[in-house]
Amino acid sequence: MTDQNYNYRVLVIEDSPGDFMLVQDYLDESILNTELIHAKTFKQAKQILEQTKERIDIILLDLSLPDISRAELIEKIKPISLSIPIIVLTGYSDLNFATKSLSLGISDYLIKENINSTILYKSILYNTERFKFVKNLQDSEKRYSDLFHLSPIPKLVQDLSTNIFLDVNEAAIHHYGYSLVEFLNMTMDDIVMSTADEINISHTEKISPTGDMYDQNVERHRKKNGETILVEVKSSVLNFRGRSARLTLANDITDKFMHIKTIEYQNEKLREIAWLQSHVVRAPLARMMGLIHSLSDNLISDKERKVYLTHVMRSAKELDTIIKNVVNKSRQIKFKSEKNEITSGNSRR
Amino acid sequence: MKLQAVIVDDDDIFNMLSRKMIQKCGFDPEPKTFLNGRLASEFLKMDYNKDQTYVVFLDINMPVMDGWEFLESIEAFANPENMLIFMVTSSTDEEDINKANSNKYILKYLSKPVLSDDLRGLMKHPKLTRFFDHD
Repeated sequence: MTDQNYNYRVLVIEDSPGDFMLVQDYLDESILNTELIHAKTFKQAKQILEQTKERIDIILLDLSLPDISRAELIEKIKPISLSIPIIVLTGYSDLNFATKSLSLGISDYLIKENINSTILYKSILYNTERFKFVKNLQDSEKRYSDLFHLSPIPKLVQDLSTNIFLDVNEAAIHHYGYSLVEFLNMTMDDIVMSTADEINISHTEKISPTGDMYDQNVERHRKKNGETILVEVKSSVLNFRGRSARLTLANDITDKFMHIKTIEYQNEKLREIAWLQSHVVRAPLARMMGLIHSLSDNLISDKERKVYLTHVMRSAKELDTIIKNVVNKSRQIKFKSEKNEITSGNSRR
Repeated sequence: MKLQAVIVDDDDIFNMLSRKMIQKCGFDPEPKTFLNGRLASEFLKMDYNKDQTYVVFLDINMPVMDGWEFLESIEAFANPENMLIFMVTSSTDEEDINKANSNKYILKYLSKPVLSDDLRGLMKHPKLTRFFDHD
């Protein structure tokens, strides 16, 4: 992990020239390639940290500077040093405070009287590496957190024992209309209006590709504004901040469901038309063809001819009525908004 | 060996036309007509004897008992050797055609209207030709 040729850029914040020279000497003795940047006061250090465009790997900080010292110094330097690890240099007299400084976000402290080349080398190496490691961990945590929070699908985490929401993502807040604070005082029961059994849509337990069991079903949910939506719900049990929790993905399928309903309705009408075409429309037409064929036969009597012609006319009228029916059915095939039909009713509260 | 033509159709104009055509072509001077499958099935059951050949012109869509139900009802007594059925319908439904082609009684699926030329063609069918004098 460490590269012997790596050039460590070290910011030394130290007002005593003697102490600075010591640090310089120790670092020269060690096998680290270092480049020192020297600041004598907090003001100088602040300037360097805010203005330098180059990377700084670590800060060596003397706790008593002419302008600011101790707790106030740490408090002020932390926000401007951002992600750079800080090693505090202190004397025996300040040992108690140095120990406390660790809780203020300092990576390490070194007692000036004890410093030698090896100790300094080790501390720089350890703290820069540990910092990289922690940062990677934080990045990875952030990536997972982003996966949750930035997902376009509403995701809700609830406590398994109390059912109260522990966390919800942006999409959930946006979709349901409740704020995060409101969510954290609610349970799943506050948004579920009816479950799969009540909607008569199959509830299935599935095995995910990784072998975990998860539930998938369709529920009717209610938003804050009272609007009801049809939701495909997938949930699985996980450990969330040390608690048993249920993660639920709530995918709004109201539009999809309505499109399918509309298409099904149209298909039904088309089937009716197809049936009419093949069974009903052809009947009077075939009869007319038969009658006309017989009429063209010279062997029939005048009386028969009259009867046949009446039948031809009657069949023509029958055909006309049927065609009008087909036209009417075709008119029924148009987009019907059935939203209210689908989402209203069947509610629990 | 005698031939008995039977017309089964709920449309009485068709029955009249078919009857006349069957007579004129010399297919059968006295065809029987029935308005639904049940009436036809009842007649055939009573009349059925192995020395007679029955040629049935059968419609599919009828009230009371349709063409398919009729075909099931005659299975109890009729032998396909002397019970020859032409499915005659105005339906052009492919499902109906496939179903008709796989039935043991059905010789042919005919689309309405059945005209005299069609009838003359049927008279040359291998199973029927022996009943007629062909000039």
